[in-house]
Amino acid sequence: MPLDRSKIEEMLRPYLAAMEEEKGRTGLPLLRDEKSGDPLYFGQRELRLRYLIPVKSLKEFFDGLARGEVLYTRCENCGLKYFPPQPTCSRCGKGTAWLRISGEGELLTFTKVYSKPASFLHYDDYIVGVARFPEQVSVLALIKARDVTEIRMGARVRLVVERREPENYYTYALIPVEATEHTGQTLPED
Amino acid sequence: MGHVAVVGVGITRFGRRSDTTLQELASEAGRMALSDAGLDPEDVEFLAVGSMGGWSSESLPAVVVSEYLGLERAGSMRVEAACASGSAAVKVAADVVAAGGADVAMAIGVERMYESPIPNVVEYLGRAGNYFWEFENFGLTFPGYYAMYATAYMNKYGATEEDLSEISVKNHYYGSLNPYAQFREPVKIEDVMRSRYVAWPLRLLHCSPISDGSAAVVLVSERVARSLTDSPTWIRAIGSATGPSSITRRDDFLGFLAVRRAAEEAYRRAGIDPARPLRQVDAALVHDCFTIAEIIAYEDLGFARRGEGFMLAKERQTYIGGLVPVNIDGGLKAKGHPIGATGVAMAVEAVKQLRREADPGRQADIKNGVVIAHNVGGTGHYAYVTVYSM
Repeated sequence: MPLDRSKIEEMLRPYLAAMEEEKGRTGLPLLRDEKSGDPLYFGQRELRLRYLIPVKSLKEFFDGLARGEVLYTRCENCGLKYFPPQPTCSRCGKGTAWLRISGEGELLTFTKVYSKPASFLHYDDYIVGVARFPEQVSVLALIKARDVTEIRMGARVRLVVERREPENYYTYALIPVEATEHTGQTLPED
Repeated sequence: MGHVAVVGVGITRFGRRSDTTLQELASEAGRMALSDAGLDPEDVEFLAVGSMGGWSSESLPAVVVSEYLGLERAGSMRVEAACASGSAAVKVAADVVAAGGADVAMAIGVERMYESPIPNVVEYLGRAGNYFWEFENFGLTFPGYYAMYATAYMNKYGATEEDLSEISVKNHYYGSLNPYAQFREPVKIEDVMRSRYVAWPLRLLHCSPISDGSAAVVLVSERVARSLTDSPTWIRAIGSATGPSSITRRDDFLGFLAVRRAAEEAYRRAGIDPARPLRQVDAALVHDCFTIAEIIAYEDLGFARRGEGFMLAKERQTYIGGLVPVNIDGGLKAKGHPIGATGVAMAVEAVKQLRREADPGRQADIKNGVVIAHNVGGTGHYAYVTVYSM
Protein backbone atom coordinates (compact mmCIF):
# COMPACT_ATOMS: atom_id res chain seq x y z
CA MET A 1 0.00 0.00 0.00
CA PRO A 2 1.55 3.32 -1.00
CA LEU A 3 1.82 6.23 1.43
CA ASP A 4 -1.70 7.40 2.19
CA ARG A 5 -1.90 11.10 1.42
CA SER A 6 -5.68 11.25 1.69
CA LYS A 7 -5.67 13.26 4.94
CA ILE A 8 -3.40 15.89 3.45
CA GLU A 9 -5.50 16.02 0.29
CA GLU A 10 -8.64 16.27 2.40
CA MET A 11 -7.14 19.17 4.37
CA LEU A 12 -6.16 21.00 1.18
CA ARG A 13 -9.38 20.29 -0.75
CA PRO A 14 -11.33 23.41 0.35
CA TYR A 15 -8.36 25.64 -0.50
CA LEU A 16 -7.87 23.98 -3.88
CA ALA A 17 -11.59 24.27 -4.64
CA ALA A 18 -11.65 27.94 -3.63
CA MET A 19 -8.58 28.58 -5.77
CA GLU A 20 -10.08 26.86 -8.83
CA GLU A 21 -13.27 28.88 -8.40
CA GLU A 22 -11.30 32.12 -8.12
CA LYS A 23 -9.20 31.26 -11.17
CA GLY A 24 -12.39 30.53 -13.14
CA ARG A 25 -13.86 33.86 -12.10
CA THR A 26 -10.87 36.23 -12.33
CA GLY A 27 -8.12 34.21 -13.95
CA LEU A 28 -5.87 34.73 -10.88
CA PRO A 29 -5.00 32.22 -8.10
CA LEU A 30 -5.57 34.73 -5.28
CA LEU A 31 -7.00 33.68 -1.93
CA ARG A 32 -7.80 35.59 1.26
CA ASP A 33 -5.85 34.75 4.44
CA GLU A 34 -8.35 33.02 6.72
CA LYS A 35 -7.49 35.28 9.69
CA SER A 36 -6.52 38.69 8.28
CA GLY A 37 -8.21 38.67 4.88
CA ASP A 38 -4.91 39.67 3.25
CA PRO A 39 -4.55 38.51 -0.37
CA LEU A 40 -2.30 35.47 -0.83
CA TYR A 41 -1.04 34.06 -4.13
CA PHE A 42 -1.71 30.32 -4.14
CA GLY A 43 1.46 28.80 -5.62
CA GLN A 44 0.70 26.68 -8.70
CA ARG A 45 3.81 24.53 -8.30
CA GLU A 46 3.81 21.66 -5.82
CA LEU A 47 7.04 19.96 -4.76
CA ARG A 48 6.86 16.39 -3.46
CA LEU A 49 10.04 15.45 -1.62
CA ARG A 50 11.25 11.88 -1.24
CA TYR A 51 14.93 11.31 -0.61
CA LEU A 52 17.26 8.67 -2.06
CA ILE A 53 19.56 8.02 0.90
CA PRO A 54 22.85 6.13 0.45
CA VAL A 55 23.02 3.06 2.71
CA LYS A 56 25.92 1.16 1.14
CA SER A 57 27.85 1.34 4.42
CA LEU A 58 24.77 0.11 6.33
CA LYS A 59 24.10 -3.02 4.25
CA GLU A 60 24.68 -5.28 7.27
CA PHE A 61 22.06 -3.35 9.22
CA PHE A 62 19.37 -4.04 6.62
CA ASP A 63 20.50 -7.66 6.20
CA GLY A 64 20.05 -7.89 9.99
CA LEU A 65 16.56 -6.40 9.83
CA ALA A 66 15.57 -8.98 7.21
CA ARG A 67 16.72 -11.72 9.68
CA GLY A 68 14.75 -10.08 12.50
CA GLU A 69 17.82 -8.59 14.20
CA VAL A 70 18.77 -5.02 15.12
CA LEU A 71 22.52 -4.40 14.86
CA TYR A 72 24.89 -1.83 16.32
CA THR A 73 28.58 -1.30 15.59
CA ARG A 74 31.68 -1.35 17.81
CA CYS A 75 35.07 0.12 16.95
CA GLU A 76 37.56 -2.69 16.39
CA ASN A 77 40.33 -0.46 17.72
CA CYS A 78 38.97 1.53 20.71
CA GLY A 79 35.76 -0.37 21.47
CA LEU A 80 33.43 2.66 21.25
CA LYS A 81 29.86 1.54 20.46
CA TYR A 82 27.50 3.12 17.96
CA PHE A 83 23.75 3.21 17.59
CA PRO A 84 22.74 4.58 15.14
CA PRO A 85 25.40 2.27 13.66
CA GLN A 86 28.25 3.71 11.61
CA PRO A 87 31.01 1.99 9.62
CA THR A 88 33.86 4.19 10.89
CA CYS A 89 34.69 5.25 14.44
CA SER A 90 34.33 9.02 14.92
CA ARG A 91 36.95 8.97 17.69
CA CYS A 92 39.81 7.04 16.08
CA GLY A 93 38.80 6.75 12.43
CA LYS A 94 39.13 2.93 12.42
CA GLY A 95 36.58 0.41 11.12
CA THR A 96 33.77 -1.01 13.22
CA ALA A 97 32.27 -4.51 13.63
CA TRP A 98 28.55 -5.37 13.47
CA LEU A 99 26.93 -6.88 16.57
CA ARG A 100 23.39 -7.73 17.62
CA ILE A 101 21.34 -5.85 20.22
CA SER A 102 19.61 -8.51 22.29
CA GLY A 103 17.98 -8.92 25.65
CA GLU A 104 15.86 -6.49 27.58
CA GLY A 105 16.34 -2.76 27.65
CA GLU A 106 15.33 -0.13 30.16
CA LEU A 107 13.03 2.71 29.12
CA LEU A 108 14.85 6.03 29.65
CA THR A 109 12.11 8.38 28.48
CA PHE A 110 9.05 8.60 26.23
CA THR A 111 6.37 10.86 24.78
CA LYS A 112 3.11 10.55 22.89
CA VAL A 113 2.88 12.55 19.69
CA TYR A 114 -0.53 14.16 19.18
CA SER A 115 0.31 16.98 16.71
CA LYS A 116 1.70 14.94 13.85
CA PRO A 117 3.86 15.84 10.85
CA ALA A 118 2.21 15.87 7.41
CA SER A 119 3.74 12.53 6.41
CA PHE A 120 2.46 10.83 9.60
CA LEU A 121 -1.09 12.22 9.53
CA HIS A 122 -2.40 8.78 8.53
CA TYR A 123 -1.11 7.28 11.81
CA ASP A 124 -3.04 7.20 15.08
CA ASP A 125 -1.34 9.26 17.84
CA TYR A 126 1.84 7.33 18.62
CA ILE A 127 4.25 6.78 21.50
CA VAL A 128 7.99 7.23 20.96
CA GLY A 129 10.70 6.47 23.50
CA VAL A 130 14.37 5.78 24.11
CA ALA A 131 15.63 2.57 25.75
CA ARG A 132 19.10 1.59 26.98
CA PHE A 133 20.23 -1.98 26.27
CA PRO A 134 22.75 -4.21 28.09
CA GLU A 135 25.16 -3.73 25.15
CA GLN A 136 25.39 -0.08 26.36
CA VAL A 137 23.66 1.44 23.35
CA SER A 138 20.39 3.38 23.35
CA VAL A 139 17.68 3.02 20.72
CA LEU A 140 14.83 5.37 19.85
CA ALA A 141 11.69 3.76 18.38
CA LEU A 142 7.91 3.60 18.51
CA ILE A 143 6.65 1.91 21.68
CA LYS A 144 3.90 -0.65 21.14
CA ALA A 145 1.45 0.51 23.78
CA ARG A 146 -2.01 2.00 23.54
CA ASP A 147 -1.38 4.92 25.87
CA VAL A 148 1.25 6.47 28.12
CA THR A 149 -0.69 5.22 31.16
CA GLU A 150 0.29 1.65 30.20
CA ILE A 151 4.02 2.32 30.48
CA ARG A 152 6.37 3.79 33.05
CA MET A 153 9.90 5.13 33.26
CA GLY A 154 12.46 2.37 33.75
CA ALA A 155 10.11 -0.28 32.30
CA ARG A 156 11.72 -3.35 30.73
CA VAL A 157 11.36 -3.36 26.95
CA ARG A 158 12.29 -5.70 24.13
CA LEU A 159 13.52 -4.57 20.72
CA VAL A 160 11.65 -6.34 17.94
CA VAL A 161 11.68 -6.21 14.16
CA GLU A 162 8.26 -5.83 12.64
CA ARG A 163 6.58 -5.04 9.38
CA ARG A 164 5.33 -1.45 9.55
CA GLU A 165 1.88 -0.81 8.18
CA PRO A 166 0.51 0.72 6.07
CA GLU A 167 3.85 1.28 4.33
CA ASN A 168 4.70 -2.46 4.56
CA TYR A 169 8.44 -2.49 5.31
CA TYR A 170 10.67 -3.90 8.07
CA THR A 171 11.66 -1.61 10.89
CA TYR A 172 12.03 -2.02 14.65
CA ALA A 173 9.91 -1.15 17.68
CA LEU A 174 10.06 -1.31 21.47
CA ILE A 175 7.61 -3.59 23.26
CA PRO A 176 7.09 -3.39 27.03
CA VAL A 177 7.99 -6.82 28.44
CA GLU A 178 4.84 -7.02 30.59
CA ALA A 179 2.73 -6.52 27.48
CA THR A 180 4.68 -8.85 25.17
CA GLU A 181 2.37 -11.84 25.73
CA HIS A 182 -0.66 -9.82 24.69
CA THR A 183 0.87 -7.87 21.81
CA GLY A 184 2.81 -10.77 20.34
CA GLN A 185 6.03 -10.41 18.44
CA THR A 186 5.89 -9.99 14.72
CA LEU A 187 8.96 -11.39 13.03
CA PRO A 188 9.67 -11.59 9.33
CA GLU A 189 8.40 -14.76 7.69
CA ASP A 190 11.14 -17.26 6.83
CA MET B 1 40.61 40.80 17.41
CA GLY B 2 38.76 44.10 17.74
CA HIS B 3 35.77 44.91 19.91
CA VAL B 4 32.32 44.79 18.31
CA ALA B 5 29.48 47.15 19.24
CA VAL B 6 25.75 46.96 18.58
CA VAL B 7 24.71 50.46 17.50
CA GLY B 8 21.32 49.79 15.94
CA VAL B 9 18.41 47.46 16.65
CA GLY B 10 15.11 46.81 14.91
CA ILE B 11 12.27 44.34 15.26
CA THR B 12 8.89 43.68 13.65
CA ARG B 13 5.68 42.58 15.30
CA PHE B 14 5.76 38.77 15.53
CA GLY B 15 2.77 36.62 14.63
CA ARG B 16 0.85 35.72 11.51
CA ARG B 17 2.23 38.28 9.05
CA SER B 18 0.18 37.50 5.94
CA ASP B 19 0.60 41.20 5.03
CA THR B 20 4.30 40.95 4.10
CA THR B 21 6.78 38.95 2.07
CA LEU B 22 9.97 37.68 3.69
CA GLN B 23 12.06 40.51 2.24
CA GLU B 24 9.51 43.18 3.21
CA LEU B 25 9.43 41.83 6.74
CA ALA B 26 13.23 41.72 7.03
CA SER B 27 13.53 45.22 5.60
CA GLU B 28 11.05 46.54 8.15
CA ALA B 29 13.42 45.39 10.92
CA GLY B 30 16.52 46.31 8.92
CA ARG B 31 15.47 49.91 8.22
CA MET B 32 14.56 50.38 11.88
CA ALA B 33 18.02 49.13 12.91
CA LEU B 34 19.86 51.35 10.40
CA SER B 35 17.86 54.39 11.41
CA ASP B 36 18.53 53.61 15.09
CA ALA B 37 22.26 53.47 14.26
CA GLY B 38 22.18 56.66 12.18
CA LEU B 39 23.62 54.77 9.19
CA ASP B 40 22.52 54.32 5.57
CA PRO B 41 22.12 51.06 3.64
CA GLU B 42 25.22 51.84 1.56
CA ASP B 43 27.32 51.92 4.75
CA VAL B 44 26.75 48.18 5.29
CA GLU B 45 29.65 46.01 4.13
CA PHE B 46 28.43 42.56 5.15
CA LEU B 47 25.07 40.91 5.85
CA ALA B 48 24.43 37.58 7.62
CA VAL B 49 20.81 36.40 7.41
CA GLY B 50 19.66 33.89 10.02
CA SER B 51 16.87 31.87 8.42
CA MET B 52 15.94 28.22 8.32
CA GLY B 53 13.39 28.32 5.52
CA GLY B 54 11.92 25.34 3.71
CA TRP B 55 8.40 26.46 4.62
CA SER B 56 8.70 29.72 2.67
CA SER B 57 9.07 30.34 -1.03
CA GLU B 58 12.34 32.22 -1.47
CA SER B 59 15.31 29.84 -1.26
CA LEU B 60 17.95 32.58 -1.17
CA PRO B 61 16.73 34.88 1.63
CA ALA B 62 20.00 36.82 1.97
CA VAL B 63 19.78 37.88 -1.68
CA VAL B 64 16.19 39.19 -1.62
CA VAL B 65 16.70 40.86 1.78
CA SER B 66 19.94 42.53 0.71
CA GLU B 67 18.35 43.84 -2.49
CA TYR B 68 15.10 45.04 -0.93
CA LEU B 69 16.91 46.76 1.94
CA GLY B 70 19.18 48.46 -0.61
CA LEU B 71 22.49 47.06 0.68
CA GLU B 72 24.23 47.66 -2.61
CA ARG B 73 27.80 46.88 -1.59
CA ALA B 74 27.36 44.21 1.08
CA GLY B 75 28.50 40.63 0.69
CA SER B 76 25.91 38.29 2.14
CA MET B 77 25.03 34.77 3.18
CA ARG B 78 22.30 32.76 4.87
CA VAL B 79 23.30 31.20 8.21
CA GLU B 80 21.58 28.04 9.47
CA ALA B 81 21.75 26.75 13.04
CA ALA B 82 18.07 25.71 13.28
CA CYS B 83 16.38 27.71 16.05
CA ALA B 84 19.76 29.29 16.88
CA SER B 85 20.27 30.61 13.34
CA GLY B 86 19.79 34.18 14.62
CA SER B 87 22.59 33.94 17.18
CA ALA B 88 24.75 32.20 14.59
CA ALA B 89 24.15 35.13 12.21
CA VAL B 90 25.12 37.56 14.99
CA LYS B 91 28.31 35.55 15.57
CA VAL B 92 29.22 35.49 11.88
CA ALA B 93 28.62 39.23 11.45
CA ALA B 94 30.45 40.03 14.72
CA ASP B 95 33.42 37.85 13.75
CA VAL B 96 33.64 39.55 10.34
CA VAL B 97 33.84 42.94 12.13
CA ALA B 98 36.23 41.68 14.84
CA ALA B 99 38.57 40.25 12.20
CA GLY B 100 38.65 43.59 10.35
CA GLY B 101 36.69 42.27 7.36
CA ALA B 102 34.13 45.07 7.70
CA ASP B 103 33.55 48.17 9.81
CA VAL B 104 29.78 47.92 9.48
CA ALA B 105 27.90 44.62 9.28
CA MET B 106 24.31 43.53 9.85
CA ALA B 107 22.72 40.39 11.21
CA ILE B 108 19.08 39.98 10.25
CA GLY B 109 16.92 37.07 11.34
CA VAL B 110 13.74 36.39 9.41
CA GLU B 111 11.16 33.66 8.96
CA ARG B 112 7.83 33.36 7.11
CA MET B 113 6.49 30.10 8.54
CA TYR B 114 2.85 30.72 7.62
CA GLU B 115 3.64 30.29 3.91
CA SER B 116 3.05 26.54 4.42
CA PRO B 117 0.22 24.47 5.94
CA ILE B 118 0.80 23.74 9.64
CA PRO B 119 1.38 19.94 9.27
CA ASN B 120 4.18 20.77 6.80
CA VAL B 121 5.74 23.18 9.31
CA VAL B 122 5.43 20.48 12.01
CA GLU B 123 7.18 18.13 9.58
CA TYR B 124 10.07 20.52 8.80
CA LEU B 125 10.63 21.16 12.52
CA GLY B 126 10.45 17.43 13.32
CA ARG B 127 13.05 16.70 10.66
CA ALA B 128 15.37 19.19 12.44
CA GLY B 129 16.86 16.46 14.59
CA ASN B 130 18.24 13.26 13.15
CA TYR B 131 16.36 12.58 9.92
CA PHE B 132 17.04 8.94 9.14
CA TRP B 133 17.05 7.32 12.59
CA GLU B 134 14.45 9.46 14.31
CA PHE B 135 12.11 11.10 11.79
CA GLU B 136 11.86 8.74 8.81
CA ASN B 137 10.67 5.74 10.80
CA PHE B 138 9.33 7.18 14.02
CA GLY B 139 7.83 10.57 13.12
CA LEU B 140 9.37 12.43 16.02
CA THR B 141 8.33 16.09 16.25
CA PHE B 142 10.04 19.13 17.76
CA PRO B 143 7.62 19.19 20.75
CA GLY B 144 8.11 15.40 20.94
CA TYR B 145 11.87 15.79 21.42
CA TYR B 146 11.47 18.30 24.25
CA ALA B 147 8.59 16.25 25.69
CA MET B 148 11.04 13.38 26.18
CA TYR B 149 13.28 15.75 28.16
CA ALA B 150 10.22 16.84 30.17
CA THR B 151 9.24 13.23 30.95
CA ALA B 152 12.74 12.41 32.17
CA TYR B 153 13.14 15.67 34.12
CA MET B 154 9.74 15.45 35.84
CA ASN B 155 10.32 11.80 36.74
CA LYS B 156 13.79 12.42 38.16
CA TYR B 157 13.18 15.63 40.12
CA GLY B 158 9.44 15.52 40.86
CA ALA B 159 8.47 18.59 38.83
CA THR B 160 4.84 18.68 37.70
CA GLU B 161 2.95 19.93 34.66
CA GLU B 162 1.75 22.81 36.84
CA ASP B 163 5.37 23.75 37.60
CA LEU B 164 6.10 23.90 33.87
CA SER B 165 2.97 26.02 33.44
CA GLU B 166 4.48 28.73 35.70
CA ILE B 167 6.84 29.53 32.81
CA SER B 168 3.88 30.05 30.43
CA VAL B 169 2.16 32.31 32.96
CA LYS B 170 5.29 34.45 33.46
CA ASN B 171 6.15 34.73 29.77
CA HIS B 172 2.58 35.54 28.73
CA TYR B 173 2.49 38.21 31.45
CA TYR B 174 5.58 39.92 30.02
CA GLY B 175 4.34 39.32 26.47
CA SER B 176 1.23 41.31 27.39
CA LEU B 177 3.55 44.29 28.03
CA ASN B 178 5.46 43.92 24.74
CA PRO B 179 3.80 45.54 21.69
CA TYR B 180 5.86 43.33 19.33
CA ALA B 181 4.70 40.06 20.95
CA GLN B 182 2.51 37.52 19.18
CA PHE B 183 0.44 36.85 22.32
CA ARG B 184 -0.67 39.88 24.33
CA GLU B 185 -3.11 38.02 26.61
CA PRO B 186 -2.02 36.86 30.07
CA VAL B 187 -2.84 33.21 30.90
CA LYS B 188 -3.49 31.40 34.19
CA ILE B 189 -2.16 28.00 35.29
CA GLU B 190 -5.67 26.59 34.73
CA ASP B 191 -5.70 27.86 31.12
CA VAL B 192 -2.41 26.08 30.46
CA MET B 193 -3.62 22.88 32.14
CA ARG B 194 -6.84 22.92 30.12
CA SER B 195 -5.04 23.19 26.77
CA ARG B 196 -4.71 19.97 24.74
CA TYR B 197 -1.59 17.79 24.65
CA VAL B 198 0.69 18.45 21.68
CA ALA B 199 3.28 15.87 22.76
CA TRP B 200 2.64 14.36 26.20
CA PRO B 201 3.42 15.73 28.80
CA LEU B 202 3.63 19.08 26.95
CA ARG B 203 0.36 20.91 26.29
CA LEU B 204 -0.36 23.55 23.65
CA LEU B 205 0.28 26.40 26.10
CA HIS B 206 3.65 24.86 27.04
CA CYS B 207 4.76 25.42 23.44
CA SER B 208 5.99 28.45 21.53
CA PRO B 209 3.82 29.20 18.48
CA ILE B 210 4.46 29.10 14.75
CA SER B 211 5.47 32.67 13.89
CA ASP B 212 6.46 35.09 11.18
CA GLY B 213 8.80 37.90 12.13
CA SER B 214 12.14 39.57 11.77
CA ALA B 215 14.78 41.28 13.90
CA ALA B 216 17.93 43.14 12.89
CA VAL B 217 21.11 44.50 14.48
CA VAL B 218 23.85 46.76 13.14
CA LEU B 219 27.30 45.70 14.34
CA VAL B 220 30.30 48.01 14.01
CA SER B 221 33.98 48.24 14.88
CA GLU B 222 35.05 50.20 17.96
CA ARG B 223 36.27 53.07 15.79
CA VAL B 224 32.91 53.47 14.05
CA ALA B 225 31.02 52.97 17.32
CA ARG B 226 32.88 55.84 18.98
CA SER B 227 32.04 58.10 16.04
CA LEU B 228 28.31 57.29 16.28
CA THR B 229 27.53 57.21 19.98
CA ASP B 230 28.84 57.79 23.48
CA SER B 231 27.11 54.72 24.83
CA PRO B 232 27.27 51.71 22.52
CA THR B 233 26.31 48.22 23.64
CA TRP B 234 29.10 45.66 23.30
CA ILE B 235 29.15 42.02 22.33
CA ARG B 236 31.42 41.01 25.16
CA ALA B 237 31.61 37.29 24.46
CA ILE B 238 30.07 34.48 22.44
CA GLY B 239 30.25 30.80 23.34
CA SER B 240 29.09 28.09 20.95
CA ALA B 241 29.00 24.30 20.88
CA THR B 242 27.35 21.42 19.02
CA GLY B 243 25.58 18.36 20.45
CA PRO B 244 25.15 14.89 18.87
CA SER B 245 22.54 14.55 16.12
CA SER B 246 20.78 11.49 17.54
CA ILE B 247 19.38 12.02 21.02
CA THR B 248 20.20 8.37 21.76
CA ARG B 249 23.81 9.53 22.03
CA ARG B 250 23.05 11.92 24.90
CA ASP B 251 24.18 10.95 28.42
CA ASP B 252 20.82 11.91 29.89
CA PHE B 253 17.64 13.85 29.11
CA LEU B 254 17.96 16.33 31.97
CA GLY B 255 20.16 19.02 30.44
CA PHE B 256 22.19 19.88 27.37
CA LEU B 257 25.94 19.30 27.41
CA ALA B 258 26.40 21.55 24.35
CA VAL B 259 24.69 24.43 26.18
CA ARG B 260 26.84 23.96 29.28
CA ARG B 261 29.94 24.04 27.06
CA ALA B 262 28.74 27.18 25.24
CA ALA B 263 27.98 28.88 28.58
CA GLU B 264 31.40 27.89 29.95
CA GLU B 265 33.10 29.45 26.93
CA ALA B 266 30.99 32.63 27.04
CA TYR B 267 31.51 33.07 30.81
CA ARG B 268 35.27 32.50 30.49
CA ARG B 269 35.63 35.00 27.65
CA ALA B 270 33.45 37.56 29.48
CA GLY B 271 35.16 37.09 32.84
CA ILE B 272 31.94 35.90 34.50
CA ASP B 273 32.34 33.48 37.41
CA PRO B 274 30.65 30.26 36.19
CA ALA B 275 29.96 29.28 39.82
CA ARG B 276 28.09 32.53 40.53
CA PRO B 277 27.00 34.06 37.20
CA LEU B 278 24.11 35.95 38.82
CA ARG B 279 26.56 38.20 40.65
CA GLN B 280 27.22 39.80 37.26
CA VAL B 281 24.12 39.16 35.14
CA ASP B 282 21.22 41.64 35.29
CA ALA B 283 18.78 39.73 33.08
CA ALA B 284 18.68 36.74 30.75
CA LEU B 285 16.89 35.88 27.52
CA VAL B 286 16.66 32.11 27.29
CA HIS B 287 15.40 29.71 24.66
CA ASP B 288 11.93 28.76 25.95
CA CYS B 289 10.66 27.04 22.80
CA PHE B 290 8.92 24.82 25.35
CA THR B 291 8.49 25.52 29.05
CA ILE B 292 10.78 22.63 30.03
CA ALA B 293 13.52 24.28 27.95
CA GLU B 294 13.48 27.42 30.13
CA ILE B 295 13.74 25.32 33.30
CA ILE B 296 16.66 23.34 31.87
CA ALA B 297 18.24 26.65 30.77
CA TYR B 298 18.29 27.88 34.39
CA GLU B 299 20.40 24.85 35.26
CA ASP B 300 22.63 24.78 32.16
CA LEU B 301 23.45 28.49 32.68
CA GLY B 302 24.26 27.95 36.35
CA PHE B 303 21.33 30.01 37.72
CA ALA B 304 20.14 26.95 39.66
CA ARG B 305 21.71 23.64 40.66
CA ARG B 306 20.85 20.52 38.64
CA GLY B 307 17.32 19.45 39.51
CA GLU B 308 16.40 22.76 41.10
CA GLY B 309 15.54 24.85 38.05
CA PHE B 310 11.83 24.17 38.38
CA MET B 311 11.94 25.58 41.92
CA LEU B 312 12.91 28.98 40.48
CA ALA B 313 9.74 28.84 38.36
CA LYS B 314 7.62 27.61 41.26
CA GLU B 315 8.90 30.36 43.56
CA ARG B 316 8.54 32.96 40.79
CA GLN B 317 12.19 33.95 41.12
CA THR B 318 12.58 34.85 37.45
CA TYR B 319 10.20 37.82 37.40
CA ILE B 320 11.62 41.36 37.71
CA GLY B 321 12.52 41.78 41.39
CA GLY B 322 13.34 38.09 41.81
CA LEU B 323 16.70 36.31 41.72
CA VAL B 324 17.13 37.09 38.01
CA PRO B 325 14.57 38.35 35.46
CA VAL B 326 14.26 35.90 32.56
CA ASN B 327 12.43 36.43 29.26
CA ILE B 328 10.85 39.70 30.30
CA ASP B 329 10.03 40.34 26.63
CA GLY B 330 7.63 37.37 26.67
CA GLY B 331 10.22 34.84 25.55
CA LEU B 332 9.68 32.55 22.58
CA LYS B 333 6.54 31.32 24.34
CA ALA B 334 4.57 34.60 24.12
CA LYS B 335 6.65 36.91 21.95
CA GLY B 336 6.72 34.23 19.25
CA HIS B 337 9.41 32.06 17.66
CA PRO B 338 10.09 32.88 14.00
CA ILE B 339 12.95 30.33 13.97
CA GLY B 340 15.79 32.31 12.36
CA ALA B 341 14.70 35.64 13.88
CA THR B 342 14.76 34.48 17.52
CA GLY B 343 18.48 34.86 18.27
CA VAL B 344 18.59 38.32 16.68
CA ALA B 345 15.43 39.30 18.61
CA MET B 346 17.31 38.32 21.78
CA ALA B 347 20.13 40.69 20.76
CA VAL B 348 17.58 43.46 20.15
CA GLU B 349 15.99 42.91 23.57
CA ALA B 350 19.37 42.72 25.35
CA VAL B 351 20.30 46.11 23.86
CA LYS B 352 16.93 47.65 24.80
CA GLN B 353 17.32 46.39 28.37
CA LEU B 354 20.89 47.72 28.65
CA ARG B 355 19.83 51.10 27.23
CA ARG B 356 16.89 51.09 29.69
CA GLU B 357 14.50 51.45 26.74
CA ALA B 358 12.20 48.51 27.53
CA ASP B 359 8.45 49.09 27.68
CA PRO B 360 6.88 50.18 30.98
CA GLY B 361 6.61 47.29 33.43
CA ARG B 362 9.25 45.12 31.83
CA GLN B 363 12.51 47.02 32.35
CA ALA B 364 15.06 45.07 34.41
CA ASP B 365 17.14 46.80 37.03
CA ILE B 366 20.48 47.25 35.23
CA LYS B 367 23.23 47.24 37.88
CA ASN B 368 26.17 45.45 36.30
CA GLY B 369 25.35 46.26 32.68
CA VAL B 370 25.27 42.62 31.56
CA VAL B 371 22.46 40.72 29.80
CA ILE B 372 22.94 37.23 28.42
CA ALA B 373 21.19 35.49 25.54
CA HIS B 374 20.86 31.68 25.44
CA ASN B 375 19.78 30.38 22.03
CA VAL B 376 19.45 26.65 21.33
CA GLY B 377 18.98 25.13 17.88
CA GLY B 378 17.12 21.84 17.51
CA THR B 379 17.00 19.96 20.81
CA GLY B 380 20.42 20.83 22.23
CA HIS B 381 21.93 20.35 18.78
CA TYR B 382 23.29 23.89 18.35
CA ALA B 383 24.09 26.04 21.39
CA TYR B 384 24.95 29.75 21.46
CA VAL B 385 25.40 31.85 24.59
CA THR B 386 26.05 35.55 23.95
CA VAL B 387 27.03 38.13 26.57
CA TYR B 388 25.94 41.72 25.85
CA SER B 389 27.30 44.53 28.02
CA MET B 390 27.30 48.30 28.38
